Amino acid sequence: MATPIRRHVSGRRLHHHSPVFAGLDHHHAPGNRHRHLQGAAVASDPIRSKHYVQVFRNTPFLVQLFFWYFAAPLLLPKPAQEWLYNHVPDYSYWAGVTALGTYTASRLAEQFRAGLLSIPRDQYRAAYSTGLTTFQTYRYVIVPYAFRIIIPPFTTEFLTCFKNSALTMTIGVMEITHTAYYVDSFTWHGLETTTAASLTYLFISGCVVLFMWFVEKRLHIPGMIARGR
Amino acid sequence: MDFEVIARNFPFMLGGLALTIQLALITLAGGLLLGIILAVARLSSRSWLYYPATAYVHFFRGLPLILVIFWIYFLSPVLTGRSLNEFLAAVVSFIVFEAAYFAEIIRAGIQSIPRGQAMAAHSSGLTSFQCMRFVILPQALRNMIPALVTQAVVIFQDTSLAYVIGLREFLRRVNLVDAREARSVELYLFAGLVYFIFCSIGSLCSQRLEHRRERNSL
Repeated sequence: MATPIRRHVSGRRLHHHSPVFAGLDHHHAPGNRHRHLQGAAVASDPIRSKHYVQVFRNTPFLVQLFFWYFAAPLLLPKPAQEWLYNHVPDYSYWAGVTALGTYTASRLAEQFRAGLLSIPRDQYRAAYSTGLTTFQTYRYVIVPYAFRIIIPPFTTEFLTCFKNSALTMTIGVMEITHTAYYVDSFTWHGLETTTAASLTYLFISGCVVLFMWFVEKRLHIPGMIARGR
Repeated sequence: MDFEVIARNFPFMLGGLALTIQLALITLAGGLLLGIILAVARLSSRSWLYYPATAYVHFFRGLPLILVIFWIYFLSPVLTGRSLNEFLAAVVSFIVFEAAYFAEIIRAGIQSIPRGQAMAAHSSGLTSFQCMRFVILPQALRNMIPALVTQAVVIFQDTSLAYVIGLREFLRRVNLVDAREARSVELYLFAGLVYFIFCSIGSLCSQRLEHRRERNSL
């Protein structure tokens, strides 16, 4: 009987060290439904993904963007700074990518967590009892389910990310909104250009929604996902 | 690291924070009102109410806020003949934008009320308006309080976008101080911290209210 216990311990480690799984520990602690997902040595590891998520969710995206663009390079050592200023002409673009990526990751982590928690406990038990390791359990049993369950919120998050990209104009990235504003500055037709930009956003959102609807339809597990539409 | 710079410019930045809070409160009130109207229209069986409200919600939920701000900014001279000042333009675009999100929250709240409530209200002789006003909405809004608080936190964060039309709210002032003092790391960490404190309080309230609601409903 020693093996399952060891597997449990390694399972806890897994939750602790990856940003996605670590958030699982104590959000649902009172419920006891997923006791096997709660970390053992909670206090020994004070900086966990929960804090990562909280920091990113409770500060405006614009502040994060300015931090990556204005402040982050100053934290680098001098030679790295000089290299950045001299050899990366589109630094604003990469700052935008970093900001959007970290911000979206924090939001997706929450969705993944919810998806993993929605998997019935019996799935874990059945997987463990067939002799799969923790990694195999997640890789072949849990994650394939969870990924399909989170497709609708994932679509929403993707669209949010897409809309948030408009904010990178504040640091000088030439995306759709900035282009509309820029064209206005020498044609004085701001209303037309912003309307065109709006239609572009709506068109792309529409395409994404249709595509994800198709993906969801193709991948849905009969009886597993309650489909609203 | 030199946090002296924050102490030196503290009153200036605090003035911006007052404007941010003011902006958030006005948006909250206006957005909630417009959101309720939209939500009720979206649940209406009259097609001349349902389709425009639905189109409105989908339209604004598909756009980035920053674009809506520009749009209102460019649209207002066409409609009124002169341009709005920055504060008014920001308030109008925030209300117009956030109302679409409020409408969806409130619609879900109204739909969560059992049908029997509306039937009972109608059978006791209330008109449709009275039924909505005195029976459905009070219950729906109470159920929706945690979600509304979360949305209030989002609004508080979104007010930072008034930055783009030059309104001197908190983030703009931090930006101005940074332009003068060139201490980006300290200033943006400070800005993040201030927003974090306010929003964490909001998020915690929302969680508490959610737990209390769950307990009471059992």
